[in-house]
Amino acid sequence: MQQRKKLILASVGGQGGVFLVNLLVEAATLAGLKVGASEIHGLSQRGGSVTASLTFGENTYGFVDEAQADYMIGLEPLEAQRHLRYLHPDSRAVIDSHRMIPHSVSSQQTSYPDTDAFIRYLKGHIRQVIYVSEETQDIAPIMRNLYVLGRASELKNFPVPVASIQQAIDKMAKPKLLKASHQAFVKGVDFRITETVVDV
Amino acid sequence: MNIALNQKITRFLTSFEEPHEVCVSGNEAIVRGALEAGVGGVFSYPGTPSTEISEAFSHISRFQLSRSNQAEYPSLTSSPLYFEYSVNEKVALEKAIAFAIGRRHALCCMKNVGLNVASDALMTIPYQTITGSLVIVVCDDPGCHSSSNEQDSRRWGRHASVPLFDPATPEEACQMTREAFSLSGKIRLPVILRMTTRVSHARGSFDFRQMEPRPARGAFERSPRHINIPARTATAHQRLLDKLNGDILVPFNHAHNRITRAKNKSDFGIIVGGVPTAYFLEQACAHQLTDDLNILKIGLLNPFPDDVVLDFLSLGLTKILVLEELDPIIENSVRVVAQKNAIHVEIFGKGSFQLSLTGEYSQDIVNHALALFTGKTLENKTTHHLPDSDSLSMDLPVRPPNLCAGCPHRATYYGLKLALPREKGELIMCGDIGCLGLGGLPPLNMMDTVNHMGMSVSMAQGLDRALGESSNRKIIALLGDGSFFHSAIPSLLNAVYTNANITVIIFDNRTIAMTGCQDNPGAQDDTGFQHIDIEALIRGLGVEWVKTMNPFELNDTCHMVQQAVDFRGVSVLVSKSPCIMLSKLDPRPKQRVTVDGSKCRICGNHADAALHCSQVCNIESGLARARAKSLGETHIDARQQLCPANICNHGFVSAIQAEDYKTALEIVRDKMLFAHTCGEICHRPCEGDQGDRIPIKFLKKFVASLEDNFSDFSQIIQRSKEQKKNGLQVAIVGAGPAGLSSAYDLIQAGYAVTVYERDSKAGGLLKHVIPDFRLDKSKYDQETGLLEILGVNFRYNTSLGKSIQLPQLATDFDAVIVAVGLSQADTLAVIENSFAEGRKFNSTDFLHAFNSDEIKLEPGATVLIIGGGNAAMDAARAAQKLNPGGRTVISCLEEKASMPAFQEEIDHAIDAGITILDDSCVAGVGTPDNGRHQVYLNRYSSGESLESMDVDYAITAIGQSAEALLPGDWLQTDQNEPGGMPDNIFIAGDLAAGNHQSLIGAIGSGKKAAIAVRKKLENYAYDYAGQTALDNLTGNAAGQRSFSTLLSSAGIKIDPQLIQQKIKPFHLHQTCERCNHCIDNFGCPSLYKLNGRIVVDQQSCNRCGLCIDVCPNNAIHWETEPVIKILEIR
Repeated sequence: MQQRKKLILASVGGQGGVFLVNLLVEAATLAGLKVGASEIHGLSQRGGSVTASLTFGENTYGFVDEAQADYMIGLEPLEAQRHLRYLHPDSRAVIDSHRMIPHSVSSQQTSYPDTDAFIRYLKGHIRQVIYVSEETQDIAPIMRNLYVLGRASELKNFPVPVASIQQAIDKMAKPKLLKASHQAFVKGVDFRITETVVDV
Repeated sequence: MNIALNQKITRFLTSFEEPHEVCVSGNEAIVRGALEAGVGGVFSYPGTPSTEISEAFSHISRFQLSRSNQAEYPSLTSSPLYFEYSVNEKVALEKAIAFAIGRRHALCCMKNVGLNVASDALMTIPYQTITGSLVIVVCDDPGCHSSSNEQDSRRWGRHASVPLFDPATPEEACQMTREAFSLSGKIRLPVILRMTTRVSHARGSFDFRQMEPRPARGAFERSPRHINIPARTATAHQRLLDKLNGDILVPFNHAHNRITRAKNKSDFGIIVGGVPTAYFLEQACAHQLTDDLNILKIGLLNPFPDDVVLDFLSLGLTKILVLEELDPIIENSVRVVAQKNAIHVEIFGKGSFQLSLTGEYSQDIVNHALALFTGKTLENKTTHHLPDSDSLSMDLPVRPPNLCAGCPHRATYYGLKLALPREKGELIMCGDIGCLGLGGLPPLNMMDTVNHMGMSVSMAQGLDRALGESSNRKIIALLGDGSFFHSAIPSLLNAVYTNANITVIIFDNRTIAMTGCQDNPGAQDDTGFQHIDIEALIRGLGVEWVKTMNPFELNDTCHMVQQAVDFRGVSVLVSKSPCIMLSKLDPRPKQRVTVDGSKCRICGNHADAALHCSQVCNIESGLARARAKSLGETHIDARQQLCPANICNHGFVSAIQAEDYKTALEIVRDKMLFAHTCGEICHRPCEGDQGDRIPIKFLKKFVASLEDNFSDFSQIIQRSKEQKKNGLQVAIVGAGPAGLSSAYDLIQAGYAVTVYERDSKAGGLLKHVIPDFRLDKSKYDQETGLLEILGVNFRYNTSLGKSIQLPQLATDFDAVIVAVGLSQADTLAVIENSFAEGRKFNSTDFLHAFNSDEIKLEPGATVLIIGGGNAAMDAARAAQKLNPGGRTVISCLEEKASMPAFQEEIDHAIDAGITILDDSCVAGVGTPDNGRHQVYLNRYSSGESLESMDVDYAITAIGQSAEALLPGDWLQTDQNEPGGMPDNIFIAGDLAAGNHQSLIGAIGSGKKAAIAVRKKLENYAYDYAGQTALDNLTGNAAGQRSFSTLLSSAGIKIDPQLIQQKIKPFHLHQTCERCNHCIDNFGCPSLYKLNGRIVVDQQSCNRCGLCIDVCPNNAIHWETEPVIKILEIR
C-alpha cells in the first residue's frame, strides 16, 4: 500500500506555486499514485502569501496540518519561515533563496528576518535541507519554480518520480514555453550531478 | 486556445466507457458532474471560491463554438451548451430559472453572498414549477479567505424549501451534481449544491464515466403554475411541503445519508457533514476509530433526514459528537429529533471541545475533539513541532495582497492622492470590493468604508444626506466596472433622482479582475457579446457631468478629479485603462525601468553627510514634493535659487508646502542663525530679478514670525549638547554677522569658540547702525544670544590692537578669524571742511546715534544725504523720521538704475517722501548762514549745473573702509591664501577681499572662513558649499516689486492660507535624501529598498512607467536599450 506522505508548498502569489501543485497532482496521477491537494486561492496573484498542500496515499484528502509536512517546497525564504510549524524532525525541505521584499519591510515597519540563521536552524533540526542559492541567469524568472522543483527531486524519497513530472509538463505547459519549461526542470534535476551534495 | 487547455476541455467533454481516473478539484468535479447529467445552459457571476466552475464552462462554450473544433471534434461539439456571465447573480439565477422553465437543464453558480443577491428569485420559484432541471451551486467561505462574511448557505435549503446537497470531497461533488440534476428534474424544484473552499479547491481522485449526449430542445407550455398570484400562494405552499415529504426524495435520502455501524459494540456516535468528514475519515483510518464508533454521514441536508437520524439514535447511542463547520444546523435538527422522540442522548456540538461557530475546522481541531470525545489519545508519534518553531515563525513581516505592478488602479489612486489631500482626515471615500479594494490597504489608504458589492454609491449618497452641511468636502464613491454593472446602476440612478451631491469614480479596467479576469459588459474582448459603453450609459441615467480619463496621464487625472469634485451634484469619472493581466490588449514595452542610484535618496544640497538636516521624511513631506512636481506650474531647479549660506531652499520650500512651518524654520537654522533677520533685511539674491522665482525671503520671515517657532531653539541646543568636542580652540574677532556665523558653524562642529568684540554687546553693524525701523533688534538679539547658550565665549569691550594683538591670538589659539568689518566711514572733504560740528555726520555715527536716541534735528530742516548705497537710504529715512516736517534729499553720483542701494531700500526711501537726485555731485558749498549752507549740485555725468539748495545738515554715506588694524598687504590677499599672514589666520565679512557687502554676503563669508579653519585643523574633506552663490552676489536684486515687497509694505498680516495659495504653483526641485515617497505613497510591489536605495524588481515590473512620474527626485527613467529576449516570457 502506498505510504502516506504530505507536502506543503509556501510561496508568494505570482511565483507559480499553484501551478507546481497542479503539476505534481497531474504527475502523481500519471504515476498511478493516490493523491489529494488543497490550496487557498483567489487572491494568489496579488502578491500575498500562498499556501498549498499535497497528500499521497489512501484516505488522505490533501490537508496538511501543523507538524505534519514530510516535505516542504519553499519558493521564497520568508514564506518558508512562515510555514515552519508545519515541519517535524523528519521533514525534508527545499528552499529558494530569492527574496521578495514585502512592503512592510520597505516601509521600515519591520525587517526581513535573517535567512542564513533560519537555514542553519533548519539544517540542525530536520532531516534534509536543500538551499537553492545559485543564480540561474539563463532561465526565465517565471520558470524558477520549475528549477526549484527539479532541485526538490533530490530530496530523499521524493514522492513523485522525475519521469512523471516531465510527462505532466508535456501536458500542462503552454506550448510556446514547453521547451523552456523542460530545460528549467531538468537543469534543477541535474544540479546534483554537477555540484556537491548538500546534506543528508 | 492552447494545447493544455484543449486537453483539459476534451477530457471534460469525453465519454469514457471504462472509468477514467482523474485527480481534479471539487469545482472541476462539478463541471464534469453537470456535463454527465446533460446540462445545457450555465449562468453565473464570478466569485471565489466558485469561479473555476464558471471559467471551465466559459472555456467549454468557446471550444464548442469554434468552427475548427466543430470540424475536428464533432462528438464533443454536437450539442454546444450555452454559457454567460450575467451582469449579476440575480439576473443569472432568473435566467437559469427561465431556461429550466423552457424545459432545459440549467446550472447557476456563485459565491456565498451571490445567493443573497439572487435570493428573491430563489424564494419564489419553489411555489411555482420548472419543467427541465435547475441546480444552484453556492460556494461558502468558512474563515473568510476572500469574502465579506462566512455565512452558512446550508440555511437556504430550509429557508427556500428546496433540497440541498453538502459534498465533502471532489468525488462527492461530482456525484451529487449528477444526483442534483436528476432530483431537480423529478421533483420540479431547483436543487442547491452547497460547497466550501476546502472542497472547491481540494483535489481528489475519482472516475470520469460515460456520458450520453441528450440533445435537449426547449419548449414552453402554458400552465397556471407559471403565474404567481397571491390567490394561489397558500395551496402552492402546501404543495411544496408535500413534495419535500414525498416519495421522490426517499432513494436520494438513503443514498446520501448513510449509517456505518461500529465493528464492535459501541454507544458512541459521530455525525458528520461537509469537509469535516474528510478530516474525520483520515483520522479514523489512521487510528482504526471505525471499530468503536458508529458513524452517520449527512450528504443531503434538506429536507433533513429525520428518519435516518432516528434510526441512528435508535442504535442505543448515549453520546454523539456532531462535526460540522459554521452553524449548528445538523446539530440542532438532531436535537429536535431526539427531543420529539423522547430519546435521551448526550449531544456534543458547538461549544464542546473548543468546536467553534466561526472559522474553518482543521485536522487538529477535529483530532482534538475526537480525542476528548472518545477519551483516547490520537497523537502520531512523529508529528511534533520543531523546538522554537513558535518564536521563529511568529511576528514575521506580513505580506498582504497588493495591487499588481502596473495596475491602473494604483495610477488612479495616486492621482487622487495628489489632487485631493486627505492626510488630515478631511475627505470621505466610500469604496467597494474587487481589486480596487486593495487601495484601502497601506500605503494607499484611500478608503474609509467598504461593505458588500455595490455599496459604495449608496454609502456616499447616504452619508452626504446624513452629514449635510457638516461635511465641507464632497463625498467620493469608488468602485470597479464589475461592481458598477453588477449593482451600482440602480444606486447611481437613485443618486441622480434624489439630488445627491457626490462624485463617483469608476475604476474601469475592462474586466472582473480579482477573480481572474472574467468578462463583463464593459469588456472588449472577443466574447461574442455586446460591448456596453459605460459613459453613454451613465449619461443616459441623467448624470450631467461624466468624463473618461486615462489614469496614467497623471496631470490630466489630477485636474479632472478636481473638476469632478468642484461640480455640485452627481459627477462621474471613468478612469479607463485595461487590467495589466489582460496582456493581449496592451503588450509590455520592451524597455526596462531603472533607478539611477546617484539620484535616489541623495542629498542635493551638501556633500558632508555629518551635517545635520532637519527635513523630515514622512508621508506628508513626500506628498508635498510630489504635488509640487506633478501639479506645479512653475518648475525651478534649486540651483537657480542658491543661497550663500547654502540653506537648503528645496527642503525649506517643500516643508512649507507640507504646512510644516516648524521644520521649515529648523531647515534654515541647520545652516545659519539669522532666519528672522534675513527675513527682514536680506537683499534676496536667491530670488533673481525676473520676478518669477519663489519669494524665499518672505517665506523665511513668515515662518520665523510664528512666535512658537521662533523662540524654540531646543533642537539645536539639544544637538549641541550631544556634540563631541574636538579639543580645538578658535578665536573670532568681531561679533558682527560674519564672525557670529563662523562661531555658529564651528561650535556645532565641536570646536571651543571665543569671540572678541570691542563694543559692549554683540551684533556689529546690524545692531548698531542699521536703524530699528528696518530690523527688529529684539529678534536679532535673540538669534545672536543663542550662541552663548550653545557655549560660545564672548569677551566684550575688547579691541584688536589695544587689549588683544593678532600675533598673540594666532599663538594662543589653533586658528583665528578676523571679522572686524569696515568701521571707518569715508568722508567728503568739501563737506568736512565747510559744515560745522553737529551739522555734518557720517552715516555710521549718525545712525549709531539715531539708534541710541541721542540725536535731534531742528524742526523744518533740510537734510542732504550724499551717497547712493543702503547706508544713504537708511540715513535718509532716519533723518526723515527725526524731521518729518522738513525736507530730506539724497544726492548720489549714480543714475537711479545703477545705485548700489538695494531696490527695496530705494523704494522705501521714495515711499517716505525723500527726494533722490541721482547723477548728481556736490560742486561746492557756500558760506554758512545761521548754520545753513548753500550747496551747489552738478550733473555728475555732464558737469552741468543742476540745482542749489539750503542745507541745514549734511550726512555723508559714501563708503566704509577698514580701520588700520591689520597690515595693509594682509587685506590684499584672498582669504584662503595666507601670503604673508600667519596661515592660521582667516579673514571674513566685509573686511575680506572681494566679499559682497551685504548681510548674506557676510554670513556666507563667515561660513566660508569656518570651512577654511576646519580644512586647516582637521583636514575637513568638503568645500564651502555656498561658493557659487557667494560668487553670484550682485547689488541689484529683484528689480520689480515682488510679492514680498507688496505685502510687507501694505502691512497685511501674513495668513497661512495666503501663503499656501501663493506657493502652490511652485516646484523648486532638487534631489533629497529624506525621501521615502514611492514606498510611503505609491507602493508598487516592484519597488523595494536595498541598502538604502530603491531598486526595481525586473521580474515583477510590468513597465507601466508611472514611477518615473512619481519619483520627486527624478531618479527613475527608461533604460535606452531593449531587453534581452529571455526576459520577455510571461
